[in-house]
Amino acid sequence: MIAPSRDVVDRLRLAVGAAHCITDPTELRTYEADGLTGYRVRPGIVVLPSTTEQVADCVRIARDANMPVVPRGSGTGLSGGALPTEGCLVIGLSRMNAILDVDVPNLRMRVQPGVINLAMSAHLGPLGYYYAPDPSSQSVCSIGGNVAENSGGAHCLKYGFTTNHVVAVRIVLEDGSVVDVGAEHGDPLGYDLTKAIVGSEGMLGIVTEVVVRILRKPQSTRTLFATFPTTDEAGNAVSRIIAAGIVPAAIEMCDTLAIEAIVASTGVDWPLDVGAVLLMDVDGVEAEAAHTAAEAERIAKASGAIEIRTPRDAYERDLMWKGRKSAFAAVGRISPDYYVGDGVVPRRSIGPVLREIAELAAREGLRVANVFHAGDGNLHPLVLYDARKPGESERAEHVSGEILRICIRYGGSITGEHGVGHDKQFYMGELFSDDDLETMNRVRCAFDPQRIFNPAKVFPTPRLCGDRPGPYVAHETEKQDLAGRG
Amino acid sequence: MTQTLEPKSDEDVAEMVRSTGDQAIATVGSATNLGFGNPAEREDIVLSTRGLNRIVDYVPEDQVVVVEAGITLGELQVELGKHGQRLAIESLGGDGVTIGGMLATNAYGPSALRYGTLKDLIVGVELVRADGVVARAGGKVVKNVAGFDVSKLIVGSLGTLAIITKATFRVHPLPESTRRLTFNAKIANVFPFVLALREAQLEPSSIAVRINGEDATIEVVFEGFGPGVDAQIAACEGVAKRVTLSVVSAANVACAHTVGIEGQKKYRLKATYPPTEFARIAREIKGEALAYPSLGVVHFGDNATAVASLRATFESLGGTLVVQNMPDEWRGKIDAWGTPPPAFKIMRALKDRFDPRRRLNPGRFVGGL
Repeated sequence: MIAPSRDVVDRLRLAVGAAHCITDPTELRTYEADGLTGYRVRPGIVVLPSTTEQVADCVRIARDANMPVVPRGSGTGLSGGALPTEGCLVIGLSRMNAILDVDVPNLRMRVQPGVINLAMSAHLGPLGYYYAPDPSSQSVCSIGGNVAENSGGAHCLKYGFTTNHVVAVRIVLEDGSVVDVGAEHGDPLGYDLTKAIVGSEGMLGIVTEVVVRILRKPQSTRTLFATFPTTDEAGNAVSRIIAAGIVPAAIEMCDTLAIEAIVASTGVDWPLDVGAVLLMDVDGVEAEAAHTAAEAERIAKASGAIEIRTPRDAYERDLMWKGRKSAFAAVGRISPDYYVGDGVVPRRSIGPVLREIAELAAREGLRVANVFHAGDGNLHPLVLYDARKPGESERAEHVSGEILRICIRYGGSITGEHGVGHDKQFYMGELFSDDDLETMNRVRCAFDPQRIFNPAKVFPTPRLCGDRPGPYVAHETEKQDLAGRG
Repeated sequence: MTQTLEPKSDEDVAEMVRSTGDQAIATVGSATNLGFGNPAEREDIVLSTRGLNRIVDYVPEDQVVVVEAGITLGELQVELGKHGQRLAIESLGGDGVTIGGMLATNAYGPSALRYGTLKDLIVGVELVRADGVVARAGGKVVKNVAGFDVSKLIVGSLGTLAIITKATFRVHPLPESTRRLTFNAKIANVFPFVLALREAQLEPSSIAVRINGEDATIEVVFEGFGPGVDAQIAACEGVAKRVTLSVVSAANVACAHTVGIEGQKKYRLKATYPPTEFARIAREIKGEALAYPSLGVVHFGDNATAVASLRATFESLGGTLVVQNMPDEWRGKIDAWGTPPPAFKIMRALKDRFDPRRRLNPGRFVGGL
């Protein structure tokens, strides 16, 4: 472990207060990993600032000392985006959790980065408004982390991702200067740097304030739960619903193994003898939601649905969604270890890709559970294994990697919402050419020429080539059933 | 003497950029609006993208289309329309504008209210850099967070970072029904009406307002399935009565707007402001204008004095006033963009990284980028 010098520690303590400066090796262990807990690196020191000025002071101190800086939100990320770099300064932003301003007539909300995603909608709910992107971890993940990863969620099929809802940010740059980027209203003047910052995985600077667009709640939301003999019929239903011109708010699929895990974990009364479950929301004005829900139900039946359920009330609806959103942690009930995938394929390829994944898993003697955002082709294959059995970890790693290659071969992507981080950086070289990556790196260099922010992520550096995806371990909050993922 | 090049492929573009040394390149599409922004510092070569006008890949089932930059919006919509789909964006300059031109200028119309701008619709891009290297970002799937989002960063960059040769978009199904309501109003009633529609949880796809002095004409368009649209039209009429607006006409329409998209030919300026300031800015403009009141956008003005007198007002509200169509006689006298934003040093650094020898539209963009 590389420890920071006495002088650096003193300066950081002065900057944020000794109580918010963590140097004790035992306490530092909390910050060794994020949601991708298979990888652990001890940070040099952790600070928990409470103001933009404190963040800027810390960045200047780190820069003077040539320490890499790794920003961190709630630490729920699944790609190792907040994995420390050896000896780095981790700047944890969870204390900066104030909602600064709500401007309902102008549909804007200004928050600090540590505000929990769901807290924004909870705050807006009584006013009749909400913040749209809803990652399954929304009860614990922070808006700052969402900005870093361009987080998605089930309902981004209709409403878009974090990038479509963040209009401006305040950011601390590598020289410790603070700038406001973007425009609260209308078009930002000049290059739209906000669009570069969202999804940049903490590599361009540290965001200390976020201005988001808020939405009026829809008049009506209708939820449809349907079971099918196989994922093929369910996939056809999805294709036909979308071909009919319906844009569902969300349309999610789980296969048999995932259903088994969800039932075991949450106790929902989903049938275990089906090949697939579809969970769908349509929303809008009452007449529109009623029409599209009826149309979707008709299409589902015509596509071979075995059973269709509609929730009687909000409680039943929440239970259905809880089942889906708890899927990642639920898989812990049926397998001691598993990898979480996040590949994307064109929607029409979902069927053939699922078959290839099943064949691949069968060849390696492993099981794969599938829960995914069917509407946009974002798969979450969960590769199950038992690390105690010789060779199984290696086979599971191999299968996870090959699934990403299948996604690339079908014209898709290696990550739809979890980010590249440390986990998938090796595969970036298979998805993009050197010229593509070099072009992205120019953006990074314009912001951070010294590469002090999160330096070892996203790009497949020679040092990290050959690294393979890490195993999934349930986050503490998931074990306590406080939050889901995916 | 400016030389015009007409590449037929992205490889042609790359070769032309590589073989022309340090010469400055102005990329043009249909050349419908060469007055966008400031005049370039130098312009040795005009590179026309009109030979790059193919649909490269289109799978209606996936609702994604890959096009070359020189295809016009009209040409693209015809092909998408054959499959009951469209790119959900309007051009204020007519259907003859190229997709590349729309991307470069971040062009959009009133339905950005529901569908967003090209920044929301683009999912991938192919660029030729100033050094002649071809690079891609994003991909062909809508949901994708692999790598920095260069596709969105490039939208609205006025060809100053790289030459766009291909773009990939999410497309939407054509609505089963489109209906429009038109109202007469006073400008003081416009924003309260917008708020009342929102309060009633109605979801118009666009709201456009023609301003003329104290008077306003409001167009509200609803799209979707028949029953939903009919219900929204009825509810919208009810809301209008409550805020004492009178209905001028109701229509089933193929094209959503009449006043909503006539902007570019008529108006030279575009300004942005917090939507709550609508009445104030409508009064200060003192003349005809076209506004999208939910978006905080207004197109207006054809004389140079408006720039000088109103830019400070919009900037003090946190907005902007930009010259979108500069006549020759304003050139060199009026800055198209206004005060560079606080993050300008990063913008300059980006320009330096992407175009260190200043070959691409040098000087046309904000702050002389």
